[in-house]
Amino acid sequence: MGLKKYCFSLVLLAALLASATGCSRKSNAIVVQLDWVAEPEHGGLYQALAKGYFKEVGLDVTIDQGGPNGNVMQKIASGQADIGQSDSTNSILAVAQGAPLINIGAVFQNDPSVLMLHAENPVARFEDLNGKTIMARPEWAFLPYLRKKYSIDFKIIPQNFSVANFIVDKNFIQQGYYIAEPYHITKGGAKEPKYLYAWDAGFDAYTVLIANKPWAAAHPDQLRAFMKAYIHGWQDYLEGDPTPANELMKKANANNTDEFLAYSRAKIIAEKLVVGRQNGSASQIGRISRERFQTQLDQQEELGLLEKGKLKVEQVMTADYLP
Amino acid sequence: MPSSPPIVELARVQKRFGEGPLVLDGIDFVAQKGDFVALIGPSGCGKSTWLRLIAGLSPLSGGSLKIDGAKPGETKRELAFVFQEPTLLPWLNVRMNVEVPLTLRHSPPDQRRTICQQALERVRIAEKAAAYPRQLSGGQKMRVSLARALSLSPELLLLDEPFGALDEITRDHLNEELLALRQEQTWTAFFVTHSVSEAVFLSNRIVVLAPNPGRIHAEVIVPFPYPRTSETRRSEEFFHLVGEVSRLLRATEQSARP
Amino acid sequence: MNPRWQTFLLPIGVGLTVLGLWAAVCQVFDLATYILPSPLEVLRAAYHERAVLFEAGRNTAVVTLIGFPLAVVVSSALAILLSLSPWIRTSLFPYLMALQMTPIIVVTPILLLWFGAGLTSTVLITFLVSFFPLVVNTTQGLISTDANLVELFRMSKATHWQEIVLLRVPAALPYFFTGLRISAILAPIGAVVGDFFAGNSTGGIGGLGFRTVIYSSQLKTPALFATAGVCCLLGFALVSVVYFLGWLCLHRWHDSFAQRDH
Repeated sequence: MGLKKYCFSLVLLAALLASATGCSRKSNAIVVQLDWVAEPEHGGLYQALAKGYFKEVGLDVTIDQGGPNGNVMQKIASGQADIGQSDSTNSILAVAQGAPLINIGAVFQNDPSVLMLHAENPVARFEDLNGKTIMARPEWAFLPYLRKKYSIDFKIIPQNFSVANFIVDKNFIQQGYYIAEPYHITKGGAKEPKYLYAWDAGFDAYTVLIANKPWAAAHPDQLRAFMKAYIHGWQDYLEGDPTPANELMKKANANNTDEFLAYSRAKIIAEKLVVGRQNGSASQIGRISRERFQTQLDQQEELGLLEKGKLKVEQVMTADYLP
Repeated sequence: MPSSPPIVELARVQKRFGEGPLVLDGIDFVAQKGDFVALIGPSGCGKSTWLRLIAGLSPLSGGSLKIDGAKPGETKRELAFVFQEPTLLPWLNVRMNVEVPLTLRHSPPDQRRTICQQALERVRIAEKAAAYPRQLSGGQKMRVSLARALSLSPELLLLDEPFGALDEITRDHLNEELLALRQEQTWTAFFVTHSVSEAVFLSNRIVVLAPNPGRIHAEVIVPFPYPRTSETRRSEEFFHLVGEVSRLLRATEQSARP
Repeated sequence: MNPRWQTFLLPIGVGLTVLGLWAAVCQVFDLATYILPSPLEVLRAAYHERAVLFEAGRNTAVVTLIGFPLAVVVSSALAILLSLSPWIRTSLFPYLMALQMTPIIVVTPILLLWFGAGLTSTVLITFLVSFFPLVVNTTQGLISTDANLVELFRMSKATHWQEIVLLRVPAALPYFFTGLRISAILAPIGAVVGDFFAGNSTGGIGGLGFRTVIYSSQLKTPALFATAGVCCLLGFALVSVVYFLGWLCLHRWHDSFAQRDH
C-alpha cells in the first residue's frame, strides 16, 4: 500500500470503524475470514489448526467467523483479513471493481450452492422456474445465467439465511448449501428437499480461498506453507478422525451439534466436493484450474456482468502458492 | 325606574370548587329585566364565578339560581357570554367567527348571513369581515367577540372584563358603543370589571363584592339616565359617585370575615 | 442581497463547496472507486444505471404513496379515538410506545414470514414507520384545544360531534402538520427498508432497497451512492408536497406563517 493511501485509510477507518488496517501484523500471523459461522465446510481449516499443522510450519493462524453479513471481500480488500473463503464467481466480480484480491486455492471443487425445493413442488427443470419467486443472494451470478440460458424470468427475495420461510411455504424455492441447510429443514419438521444443481445447467463455480493480493505478494513463503498445511488438514479431516476439528468448531459456534457436524461431513464426503465429483482424488484437494476460471470469465462477460476483455485469468487466480 | 319583571334571581347562592373554601357565600340578588349590573371587587371575590353560575358553566354548591324561573342550562332565555379574551377561532375569518353560534344551531344560511352582517355593522367592524383574527388589533377582536354575542339577539348578556386588556381610549369608545347598542336592543347585562369609572359609566346598579368568602359588601344605584354620553363622564355627580364606590371598594379589603 | 435569493444561493454554495472538497479528497488520496468514488464517477454510474434507478425509484415511490396515506388515515382515526378520554389514552399509549420502540429491522422479517414478500409487507412496513409521529402529534393537537374555545362551544350547546369536527380538528391542524412533516421524512425510508428485505418479489427491478443489496454486494459503490441520491430525491419530493399542503391549510391564519418584522 502506498503511504498516502495507508494514512488516509487509518484516518478514515479510525473515524468510521475502529479497526486496524492490518499493516502492523507480525509476518507469521495470518487472519482467515470465514464466509459463514464455523461449519464442516471449514472442516479442513479447523483440522489443520487443531492438529497443529500451521504451528508446525511456524504460522500463527486466527480464524474469524462470518455470518449473514459476511463481507468477506471487503474485509480482505481492506486488509482486515489476509485470506478468506468465498465463491469464485463473486470474487471475479470484486476484482473487476478494483478490489485487490486473488484466488489462491479451492475449498470445494464445486460450489455447493443449489436451489432447494420441496419434494412435491411441480418445478422439476430449470425452465419451470419461469415466473416463480426465488430467495437467493441477489448477486449470485447463477441467477442472470439462468435467465439468459433458458430465456426465463423470475422474482428475487434477498436471502435472509433462515429456513423458516422454506419450512412454512410448500412452494418456496431457496438458495442453500445442500450440505447444511437440509439438516435444519428436516429438524424443523419438513421433509428432505429436492435440488436443482447449478452445475447441471453448466454453471460450475468453486468455493475458493482468496487472499489480499499485495499481502500475498509480500509473504509468498508463508502463504505456500499455509496452503500445504491447509490441504493436509482437509485430507486428515475427511479420511481420519474429525474430532479435533469438531471440538474447535463446537467451541467457535455453540449451535454445532455432533449430529449436525457428522451429517454435514458425511454429505461432503459422499458428494466428493473436496476431491472432485468427477475423477476425484486426494491429489485434487485445493487445486484450481485455469480453464475453469476462464470459462467463468467468459460466462460473466456473456451475461454482461463483466466488460468484455476487462480481466485476464492471471488477474483473478494463481496456482503459485499450491504445492 | 318602572318596575320590571325579575329575570335573574339568586337566593342564598353558595359555590365552592371541590373540597376547597367557599368562593361565594350567601349571595342574594334579584336583577330586573333591563338592568345593567356591574360586579366589582378585589381579586378572589367570586365575580367571574357569579357569571359562570348564571351561564351554567359551573354548578351551584348551594342555594338557588333562577333565570326567569328556570335553572341555568334549562332556561329558554337566550344567553350570550363575552369572555375576557376575544376567544376567536383563528382559522375562521371575522364573518365566519360571528356566525359560529348560529352555525352550531343549524340556522338557515341566508338568515344567518343577514343577522351576522347586521351584528358586524352594529359594532362597526363590517369592513374587516374577510380578515383573519391574526390581522386584527385587540380592540377589533373584542368587537368581533361582541358581534358574535349579539348575533343570538340575547336577552341576557354576561361580560367578564371584556375590555380589561385594551388601552383607555379604545376602552372608552367601546363603552360608549356598548351603551349605544343597549339603546337598540333591550338586554339585561352582568358586567364584571376592575374599573370603577367603567362600572359607574355603564351600569344602573353596582354590586361591590368582598372576598374570602365572596359576598355582597354593598350595592350602589347609579341614578344617571340613559342614554349616557362622554359628557356624563365629566359631570360632578359622576366624580362623586366614583369616589364613593372607590371608598367602598377599599373598605372591602379590610373586611375579610374571621 | 434580497432575502429571496439568499434562500437559494446559500445552500447551493454550501453544496458546491462540499462537492469540491469531496472531489479533492478523492484526487489527493487516490482512493479505490469501491471505497470512495468521486462525484464524477457517481454521476457516471447514475447515468449508466438511469433506467434501472428510475424504475427502482418508481417502485419505491409506489410503496410510499400507498403506505403513507394509509398511515395518515388510520392515525387520524386513532387520534380522534384517543382524544375522547384520558382513560383510553392511559390504556393504549404504553402499547403504542412499545410498538414504536421496536426497531423496524426486527419487525420486518416477522412480517415477511406472516405475509410473504410482496406489496403487502412493504406497504405495512412503510405504514408502521410513518404511523407513530402522526398519532402522537395529532392526538396532542386534539387534546390541546384552547379551554375558552371549548367553553364557547359548550355555551352554544354544541354537540360532541360538532365540538370534534368544528373545533378540535381545525385546532389540531398545526400539530397534525408537524407530525406529517416528520412522517414524510420517515415514510420513504420505511419503503426502502421494506423492499431491502422483500427484494423484487413484486417483479421487475425491485425498489431502491433491493438495488442497495445488489450494488453493495457487487462492490459497485458509485451506483450505491447514486441510489442514495435517488432516495434523497424521493424524500425531498414527498416533504415538499407535505410542506405545500401545510402552507395551503395554515398560511392564512397560523402564526407559523406570520410575516416577521426585520
